[in-house]
Amino acid sequence: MRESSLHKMAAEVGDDAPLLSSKVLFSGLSFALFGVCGLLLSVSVFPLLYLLPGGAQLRRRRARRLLGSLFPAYVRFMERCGLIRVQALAPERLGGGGQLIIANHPSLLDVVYLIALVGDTNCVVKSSLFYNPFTAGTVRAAGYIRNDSASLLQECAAALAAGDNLVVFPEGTRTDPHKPFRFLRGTANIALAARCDIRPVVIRCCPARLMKHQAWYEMSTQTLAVSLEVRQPIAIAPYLADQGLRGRMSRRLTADLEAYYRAC
Amino acid sequence: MHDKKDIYEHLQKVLVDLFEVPAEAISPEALLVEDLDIDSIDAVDIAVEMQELTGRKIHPEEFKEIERVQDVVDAVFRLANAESA
Repeated sequence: MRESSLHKMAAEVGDDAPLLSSKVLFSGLSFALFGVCGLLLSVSVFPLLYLLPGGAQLRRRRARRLLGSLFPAYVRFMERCGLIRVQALAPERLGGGGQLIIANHPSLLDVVYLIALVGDTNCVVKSSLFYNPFTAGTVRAAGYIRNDSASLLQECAAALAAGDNLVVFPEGTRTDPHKPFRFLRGTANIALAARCDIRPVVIRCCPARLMKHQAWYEMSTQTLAVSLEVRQPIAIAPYLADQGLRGRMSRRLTADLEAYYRAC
Repeated sequence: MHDKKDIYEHLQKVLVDLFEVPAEAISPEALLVEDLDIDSIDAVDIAVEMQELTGRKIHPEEFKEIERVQDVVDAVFRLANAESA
């Protein structure tokens, strides 16, 4: 979707949207809901999931399926509050499993939108989320992969080989509008280690809110128009040709991925 | 037995061959992360390559304090000599 049509969509929904003060109220409510649910799940549902029969793998799957239905409900809640309107383009491309799914990271809630869309998925997450009381229970129960793990590449390759989807944000953090657009090389290294094609998702948010250096209450009178465009896969094969040159290939692939997203 | 000059030259070759680091950017004082764009996954590859030179096993934790090119040379030199002594 072009930027201009997103503007149009934002303008259209903006007319009958609630006033700014109620926006801030609903926005605060949404954040509180996220935190409270995160805490409640950690002390109630996730421990109960542990009591159910089945091994670690089955427990993780149940937790991920639960998130796969809670996140869409959360997105719907925010839509009902008039805060956001989320539109997915070609989401059916995310079916099938075993996909390495990457996305740009313009806003705070990108991981929520994306997991709401993918459903049952693994995810590489910042290690700090394993210690944040609002998120620790969730990321641990779902068995998400820490970005500072010494065996990151092996864990990611094993997850993809086992048929898990794997969501990764190659920037490692939200886009900093004041800095050059850069990807870390972790994603390229994961793709090379797993010999897995890359599924790009382009996230757009208009007007730009919940960005880095922006507070949650810096709202707009407009409803945020969010779009997730699921694109054709990027083949890994051309980068696998030079065996033993992982370092070079990861640099080349990272540069190509950056160029791909800069052109969006 | 390798002296520091051998180790430095080997490291220089590894950086250029494996990571396409421009040769002119490499100096003893160059910072691996900031100046040469080496990440933690690259560091593992460097450890493996330096191990092939010295024949001694290098543990990643011995690379933890390393910031500059010269730090790598010193660490490899220390390891190579400590174990043969």
